[in-house]
Amino acid sequence: MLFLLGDALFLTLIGALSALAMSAVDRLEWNALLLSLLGMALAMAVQMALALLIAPLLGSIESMAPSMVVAMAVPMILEGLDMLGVELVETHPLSLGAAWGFVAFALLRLYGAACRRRFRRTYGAP
Amino acid sequence: MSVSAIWDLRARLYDFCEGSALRRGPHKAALFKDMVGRVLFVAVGTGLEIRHFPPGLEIIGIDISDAMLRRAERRRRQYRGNLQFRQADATQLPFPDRSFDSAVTSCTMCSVPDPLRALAEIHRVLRPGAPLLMFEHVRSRNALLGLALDVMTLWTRLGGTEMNRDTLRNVRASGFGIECVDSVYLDIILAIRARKPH
Repeated sequence: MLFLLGDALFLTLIGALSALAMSAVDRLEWNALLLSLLGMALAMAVQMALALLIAPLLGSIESMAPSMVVAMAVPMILEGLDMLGVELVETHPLSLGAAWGFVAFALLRLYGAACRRRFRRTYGAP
Repeated sequence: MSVSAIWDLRARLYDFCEGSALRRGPHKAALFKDMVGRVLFVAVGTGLEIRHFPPGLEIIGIDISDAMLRRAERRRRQYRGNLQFRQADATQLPFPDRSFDSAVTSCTMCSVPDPLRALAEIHRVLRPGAPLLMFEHVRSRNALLGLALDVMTLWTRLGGTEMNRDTLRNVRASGFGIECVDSVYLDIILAIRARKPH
């Protein structure tokens, strides 16, 4: 239960920080693809540093792999929305990033349950 | 740089980097309780797993790194049973055929340069019908998580660890029958119970 809470909070934080990184990069007003890549790189640098710090508590792979997906996805989502003409005021990217982080946590829970079912179906119960 | 030199170097920081005992410990203990008879532990590292071993067994722990085994020595002495270490390469086990009743690995197949050869060696030294217990991380079948593990492998490979191996396929290809796979974390960290056929 404690790990679930830790995973949820960590991915929400990574989502919010990734959005913050993308917002910071967005001020450069460069090409959209370049901005996405730069935002993703910055978000992943922050994500990796935090994942290493939290690893003794949440586990190394358990913190690194899903948070990397969040750090890759959030800048792309924000840039995609920007390209579609969705105007996000200063605080919205942060809450959108945090929301995406939490959604990623929920999707991972569903995926975990599907994996357990698949393994039980294929190999039998532990 | 040789494999043993890489792991000698990593020995100093190994316990910190592998500091996931809090979350993974109960899963390891549940898996390792199925150890029976004379046990081969492949890649014992700094002995982090020893606390999860059931007491009273005869266990031979091997590792390619002498520095790792030196660090594991204190934990070896704390084990309530017969635990011996030997420096050896997992792909060239210095034991006769059919000399162990069970074998155990823990985050081993990500680190040996040739996992199929290591599994073939484990198969050789196990008696027919003996269990192989594996606590391993593998590549996820999910495209995004798989991609993340591929990206991680770009730098973990420099330290001798591959995050994206298909260990379940390798176990089957080496002649073991997989009896049970327990998800520890999604389809990435698995507790695998396999067996050498009779």
